[in-house]
Amino acid sequence: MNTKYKMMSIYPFEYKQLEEYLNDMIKKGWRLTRINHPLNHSLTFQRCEPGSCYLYTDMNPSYSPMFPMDETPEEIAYRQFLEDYGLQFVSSNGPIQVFMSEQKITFPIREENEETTRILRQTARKTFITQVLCTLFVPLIYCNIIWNTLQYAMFTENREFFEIGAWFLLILCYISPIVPYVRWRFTGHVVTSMRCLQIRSYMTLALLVMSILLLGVIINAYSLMMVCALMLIICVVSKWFKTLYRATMPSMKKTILAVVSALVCLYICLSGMVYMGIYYLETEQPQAPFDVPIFTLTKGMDTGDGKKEQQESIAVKQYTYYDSDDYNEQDEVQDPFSWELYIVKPTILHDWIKTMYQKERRFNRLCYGYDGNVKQRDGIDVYKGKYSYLLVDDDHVLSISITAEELDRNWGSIRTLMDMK
Amino acid sequence: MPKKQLDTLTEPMYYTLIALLHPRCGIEITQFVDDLTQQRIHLVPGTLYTMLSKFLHEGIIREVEVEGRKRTYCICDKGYVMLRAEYDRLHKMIEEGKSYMDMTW
Repeated sequence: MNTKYKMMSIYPFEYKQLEEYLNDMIKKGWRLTRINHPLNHSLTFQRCEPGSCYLYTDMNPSYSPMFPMDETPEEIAYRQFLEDYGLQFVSSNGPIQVFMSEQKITFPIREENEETTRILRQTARKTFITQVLCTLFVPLIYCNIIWNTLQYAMFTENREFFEIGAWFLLILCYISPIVPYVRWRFTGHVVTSMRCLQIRSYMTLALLVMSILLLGVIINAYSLMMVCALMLIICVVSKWFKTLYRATMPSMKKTILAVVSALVCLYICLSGMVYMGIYYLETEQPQAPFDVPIFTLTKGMDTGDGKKEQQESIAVKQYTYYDSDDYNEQDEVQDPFSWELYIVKPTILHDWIKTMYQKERRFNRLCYGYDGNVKQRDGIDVYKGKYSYLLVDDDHVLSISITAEELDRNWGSIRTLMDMK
Repeated sequence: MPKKQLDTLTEPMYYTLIALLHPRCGIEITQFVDDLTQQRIHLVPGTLYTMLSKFLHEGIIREVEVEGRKRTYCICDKGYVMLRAEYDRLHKMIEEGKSYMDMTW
């Protein structure tokens, strides 16, 4: 094994710590050959004679967050300038560049003065903003998808899981890049343990992997492939844009173009995913088996007690039988895309609603928060929810997603439906 | 009101401009300043490069020759005026303080 990879998340203000670490590695016989993109977090080492050379790190004053791995003319000029001092350029990840010298040099590359601090702050800020924007992207997608998920009654039974998972990821994604920067900016404290930097990079990568997997679960594998394809297109377009960017445009135009293109990319990604989510819902939902085109039926509840034939005669597409005595919540998890209409005894239903309200879960979640206020209309109890109504008569419970106006307008049809036995 | 940069030359800036009264490249500037100040002031490459870039941008110095990776710089009129003003200021400071300093010590 002549090559070794190390994961390490490094901020520009940690460049001195990196230098110490790299020279320690040389003493162990490993020389850095490549320092990867700031979001990649990996360092590549190759075997060398222990103590055969010395590595020096420096920040990059002309670092551009747009294309950090590309060499700008300023960077090339600077690297050539340092060659006169016996410092050979090794690699750069954008904000940090590494130089090598066969002899130990007696002077630092950069003095600790006001100008250096200013450059360091500027470079660190650019890196920080890049990282935050990248990590912001994932939680934003989550929030968007979960919001749509709730809107369209997908996965309602697992809402807590997705909600908690999303917020957990959101917080972790944020903490990872923000804490070290804020700590350095306000207290001047820099992490000295390289192990900490490694753990930080593992955490960020684990979060990204988890995010992608969870994204796959939420929007399904097909949509995830679409997202990946979209990202690939964006990468290709950005390559093309990069050529344009490197052309002779003045810097103000460059900046405006960069910001506009970044916003467009973000918009395409987000709207693409939202669109795919909506498209999936619209196409995958089976049609109601009876002619009720105006409103949709969602889940209700069924306790059984011998009304199976009656229920089937109402053309319930998917029917699940529950015995009122040995009712088990686990059994009720079903395909959320199925159209269901359950029949239940009102007394049992009222008890059940009461129990569920006491537990503050399931029923109000499932039916979008019925407020418990009951109004009587033509002998039917009408429970008003946030997005739907629960209608209960002596024999039926009907949960429908419908607005108040639609309910009024279609009351006749609903009555007919309720009267079907 | 924030102080405008380059209003007053710092020591490294002053000695860099002195060095550029004759065309010199980066390492030559460092060596010249080392010799002149007997290593009291040592211009490190990172700082020197940033300073030279700033001088170039402000039109204080100019590139006179690019030979491969070697770039040679020389002071411009604007830079000379600044250097002269700084020299006069320092000289005046010495003159003004001279009699008092001699008397005290």
